[in-house]
Amino acid sequence: MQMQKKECVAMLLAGGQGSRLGALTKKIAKPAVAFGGKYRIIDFSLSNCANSDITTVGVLTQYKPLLLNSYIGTGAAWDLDDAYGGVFVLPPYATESGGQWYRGTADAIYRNIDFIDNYDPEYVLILSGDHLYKMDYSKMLKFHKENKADLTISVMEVPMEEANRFGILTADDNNKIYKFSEKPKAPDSNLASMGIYIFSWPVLKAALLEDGEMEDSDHDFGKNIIPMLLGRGSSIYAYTFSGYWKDVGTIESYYETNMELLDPDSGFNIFEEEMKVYSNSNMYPPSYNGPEAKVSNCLICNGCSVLGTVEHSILSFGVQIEEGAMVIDSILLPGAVVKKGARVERAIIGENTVIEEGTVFGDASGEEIAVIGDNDVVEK
Amino acid sequence: MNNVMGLITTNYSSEQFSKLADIRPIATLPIGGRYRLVDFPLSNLVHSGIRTVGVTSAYRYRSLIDHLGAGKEWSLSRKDDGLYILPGSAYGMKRFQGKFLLRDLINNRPFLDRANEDYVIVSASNKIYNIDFHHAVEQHIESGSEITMLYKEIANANLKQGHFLDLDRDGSVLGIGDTATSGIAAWFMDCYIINRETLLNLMEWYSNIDYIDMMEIIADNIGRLKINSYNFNGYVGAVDSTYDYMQCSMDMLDPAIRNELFNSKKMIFTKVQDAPPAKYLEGAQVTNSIVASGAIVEGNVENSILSRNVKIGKGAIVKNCVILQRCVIEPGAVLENVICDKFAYVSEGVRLSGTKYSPLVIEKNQKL
Repeated sequence: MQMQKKECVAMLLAGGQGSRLGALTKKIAKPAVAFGGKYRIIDFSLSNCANSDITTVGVLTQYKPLLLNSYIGTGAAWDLDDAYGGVFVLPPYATESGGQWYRGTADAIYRNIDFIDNYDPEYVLILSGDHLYKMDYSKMLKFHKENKADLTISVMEVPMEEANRFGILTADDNNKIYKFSEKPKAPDSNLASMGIYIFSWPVLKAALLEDGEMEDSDHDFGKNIIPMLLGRGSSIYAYTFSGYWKDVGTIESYYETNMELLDPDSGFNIFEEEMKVYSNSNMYPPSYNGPEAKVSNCLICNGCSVLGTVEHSILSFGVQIEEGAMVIDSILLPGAVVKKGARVERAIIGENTVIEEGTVFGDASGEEIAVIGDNDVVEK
Repeated sequence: MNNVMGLITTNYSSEQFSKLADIRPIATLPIGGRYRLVDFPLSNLVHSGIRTVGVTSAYRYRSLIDHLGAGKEWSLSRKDDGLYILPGSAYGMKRFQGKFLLRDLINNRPFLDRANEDYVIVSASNKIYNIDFHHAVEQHIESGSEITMLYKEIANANLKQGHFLDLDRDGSVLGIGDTATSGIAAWFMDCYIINRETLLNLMEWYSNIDYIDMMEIIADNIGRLKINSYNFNGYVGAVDSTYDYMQCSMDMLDPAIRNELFNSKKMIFTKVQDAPPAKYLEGAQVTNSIVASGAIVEGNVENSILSRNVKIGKGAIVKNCVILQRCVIEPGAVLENVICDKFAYVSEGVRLSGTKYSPLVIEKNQKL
């Protein structure tokens, strides 16, 4: 391996199951879940890296990584197949003393200290592979350097009444953080941590080495590493991000975030040319609308064929809507098929799942979002 | 197929394209919403397991090099073999006669000399079809032919341009003409399989008159060389004029043709641009049309092809049209039988129409 010194290496946490996404993460890790028609959730962080001139990215995988591994490939889809860097998938591995799963977010980094040291970086950027946002990390890095910080945490302002749902940081007038409280009952700040950290590498490495030996630690950035550094008076700064950011933790938030792509006022814009979102696209032909097709308020990907009616929905690549079929308020993942005369309302249809002729799935007037996983069939 | 290499020619032009082929070689004419013509022969070769492909470049080759790059999208960016761009020879000149200029081959002789493959599939780049060359190559080898010319039997030969083959019962080529002698004819697909050795010999023999075309050389050698033919049963679309271009585009709206051309097992590869999905706003009406990614549609579209990143404004009517990449059709504009080249801008309320037989062409970057 030929290594070149890098100023900043990104470590992307992509090992989580995302169990609250239920059927969608039954066979794949959350960062690999399809999103917005042609993307997978991890596309957003990988594209951000590419758009921020970060060319060395370690992707920490653990839960059902097959699709994620093949999707990431060499990283070429995000222009990250760099001669002196690139994307590296880093699963847990065995050593002389045996093997172990990653015990927590910090442990995943702790066990890849050698990987990071290979690049001899000044800074390490810690990212989550399951967040949806567009951000130029180079601006955050500049902020970190200007403050000569040990750690910079990206934060966003949330409504005060919702602050009790987040990890809340309290900072002084110079953005220096002096308090961190996880889901506080009586919040004194509305700066919520986005789970995006830039550490000066020597500081992080020392903290990881210490935490790694602690038996009672959860080996988690939020629970252990940040409180440890804060307790020791490290210089920790809050970098305020004001754009769109979402962590799609549940089926409801996954559904809403997808639908926000259809809403011009949501602030989530995938059409602007700046900070383009890249994906490992398939070579499908453009979509086709049949003579009787009715499509409005939708996102439709290449490879789709629409012969029926689709309203306020997202069709991922290769979706087929047959004659007389009706799709309303729904998200159809890649390769889903809605057969003749079937109805899909307020639903999420998994990859390659077939809704058979004449069946009804979901209810547009209902509260619940109907969900069916990948490679399944809905029959009468 | 590791004994077969490919050679695609793009160094020719035509005056029957109005402005469409003025600014680019025919090979890079955009078609089908996201493709360029050269994607078809290139993908066919790759799907047939061919790993060495040369492409002769044309006058004004910027768009060709831009599109092909190192051949990554066609899996032709390799350590050994892969894609070779072969400089076309008629520097600064546009060629109208013939699609296989001998000089282009002679000037790139090392490409053919150094190859290990025994057979070469030579294809022009203005016909679209989806073929697996395995059968044709097998037949070529079994028959012991030196050249096998691919053709499609068509009924309305009087309406087609190009070359027609005169065949005997066994399929041997007896003659090549540029008009059909009867209604039903063997229409040459601008594609032939030739033994590399034969090709190198012909290049040597005719080197003094290198301005002639390979078609003239093949015709000159009927009787001397063993020239066979291969009948292809699939769809063949020819793009030899603006009218053809429109016709081929409309053919793609036919489900049977579309399914054959864009067969999911033999996908047509093209340069990837990472455009977002197509967006249909409230009030959009799009029927019997192809819509590429990145398009934003708010108007009425019927029997048309919308390429990547086009915008169709509210209340605009687009009927029987081909709208190329990044065109903007403002609200209320009405277009019928129009081809809008890339970046064209049609302002609010403008009405444009051509006819089915003579579509109106709006030039690249033109603002109306």
